Amino acid sequence: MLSRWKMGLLAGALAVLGLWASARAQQPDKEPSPFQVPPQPKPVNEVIQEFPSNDEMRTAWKVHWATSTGFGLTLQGAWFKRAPKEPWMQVVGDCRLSEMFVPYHSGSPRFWDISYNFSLCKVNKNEAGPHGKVLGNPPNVVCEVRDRGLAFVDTGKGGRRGQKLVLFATLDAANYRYVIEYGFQDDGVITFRVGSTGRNYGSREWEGHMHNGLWRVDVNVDGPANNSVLVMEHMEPVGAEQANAKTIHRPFNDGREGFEDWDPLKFTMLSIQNDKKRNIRNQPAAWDVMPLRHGNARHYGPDNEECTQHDFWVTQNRKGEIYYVKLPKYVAKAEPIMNTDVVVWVSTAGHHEPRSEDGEMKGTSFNGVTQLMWCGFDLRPRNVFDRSPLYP
Amino acid sequence: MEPFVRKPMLALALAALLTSGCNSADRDDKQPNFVLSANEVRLAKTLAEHELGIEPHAQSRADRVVFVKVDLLPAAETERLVMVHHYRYQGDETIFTMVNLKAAEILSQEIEAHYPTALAPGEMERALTLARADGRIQPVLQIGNIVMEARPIQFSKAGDPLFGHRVAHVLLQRDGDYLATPVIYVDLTSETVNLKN
Repeated sequence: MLSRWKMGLLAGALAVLGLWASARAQQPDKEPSPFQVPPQPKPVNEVIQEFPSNDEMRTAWKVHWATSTGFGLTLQGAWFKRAPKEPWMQVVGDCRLSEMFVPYHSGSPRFWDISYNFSLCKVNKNEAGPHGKVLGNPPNVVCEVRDRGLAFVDTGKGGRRGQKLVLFATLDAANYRYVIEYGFQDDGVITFRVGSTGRNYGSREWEGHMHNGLWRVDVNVDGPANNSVLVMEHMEPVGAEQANAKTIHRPFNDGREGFEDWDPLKFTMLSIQNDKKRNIRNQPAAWDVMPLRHGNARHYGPDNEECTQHDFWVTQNRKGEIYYVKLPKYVAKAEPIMNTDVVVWVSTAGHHEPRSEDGEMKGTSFNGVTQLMWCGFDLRPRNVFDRSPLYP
Repeated sequence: MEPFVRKPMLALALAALLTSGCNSADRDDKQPNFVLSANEVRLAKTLAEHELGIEPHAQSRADRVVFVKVDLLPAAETERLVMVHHYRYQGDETIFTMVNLKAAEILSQEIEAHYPTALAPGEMERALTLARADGRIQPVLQIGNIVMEARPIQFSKAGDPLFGHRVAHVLLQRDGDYLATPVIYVDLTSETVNLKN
């Protein structure tokens, strides 16, 4: 048996050997010419898509995706080009489904299916479809360009169909499957979706429950700096001026970290804008959080559920803060969220009341599959273009 | 926070680990940047456990601290940040240790009680072993074509006997369909199997 001292010497020798090998491996064979710019290899997780896919380019997206156990499919960043000769403009940094909280109506179980660190499913040809390109090793991400139906119909120049680049992957959460999907439209919109499917939970096959898709979105309009979060509200006044509706733009939570709730009567939206980046009308470029809601989820279990009691949270972008459950702690300092690097956290919940279409009991086992139920929101550009995108 | 390197032995071992594969220049170019190498995971775990003062092989059942996972965190290119997750049975605690792998530096350590935490692969396996060994489950297993699968579940009501315990729900599948019964909860804290028919 080696003594501790000898072990130390051995480790030291290994360290010196490692350093020498590392330094040697990094030495170039010869000096590169000062006139040569070495080609930058394209990251293996980069997707660039020009629109339209079958004609002269009008707009384009560059997307860096990533996968991991737990969070499944995430974005490392996305950049938009609003015209062929324009530079890439960053729109988002890290984006992820930060949590999937599934409380059952009877009080238990209460699952946190992102924290539980499930893996992604391998993709098969059926799931990828005829136009889907399978990415990843192992293959677990699908990338495809989809027709998105009509983009607009104009009285003078007629209509146009739109397209979007879609990346999706499926989380293997025991009996359940969560399809995490990001879409990048030709008009600059990013769509965030999570679809719940799979087998109803054994022994609770007919019990109602919620699927709370809880997102973390690092919005970086033209980069991480100088971003501010505003709330936009539609107001229908009461009293003598009740016919005069108006829109209110105000700093989110008085310009400090915290939370706000979605009000269906106010059509609550968030707008993340960069005052330093302006369009031809001198309006600040922004991307709006456009809710597509089934309802507002509120959960009051004994532990960790305060984060579900509000629809929107905003924090500064700080190291290590990616866990939705910890949001009440993250906002405790109430730091400014104007003209800085901000993160928007969005709750998108769906209520699953089981139905016969989910499956049937056959003896003591449950046979069938719950059809996908989608939840999510859009990030839509505001004053990013100088005119209508994709217009003839 | 105190400097993480308190023992020369650890410093030398970490240096060996760093030079053997955690230098970003040594990363395989074909490997995407979102994949943590085995060396990176090892380094993160080693640093976090040293900070915690864990002696991995000298723990009683009650004092067990289990390494759960490492999450890669979003970071600037000058850093490679990860969050290391450990679970401590005593107190039902999750320990989060944030590490900058490029500097082999611990940035923070936080403890949360009753936090929703994944089961480590070894815990999943232990849950399945305990379930398989339970005589009450044998008749079901003897039906044939049964696949067992463990998933985390928490009991969050303070009065529940399983509150604050480390629990796996063992699901049973036959020919791809989940059985409604029996409902098997393996309590890893007490190493007992709870069964509902």
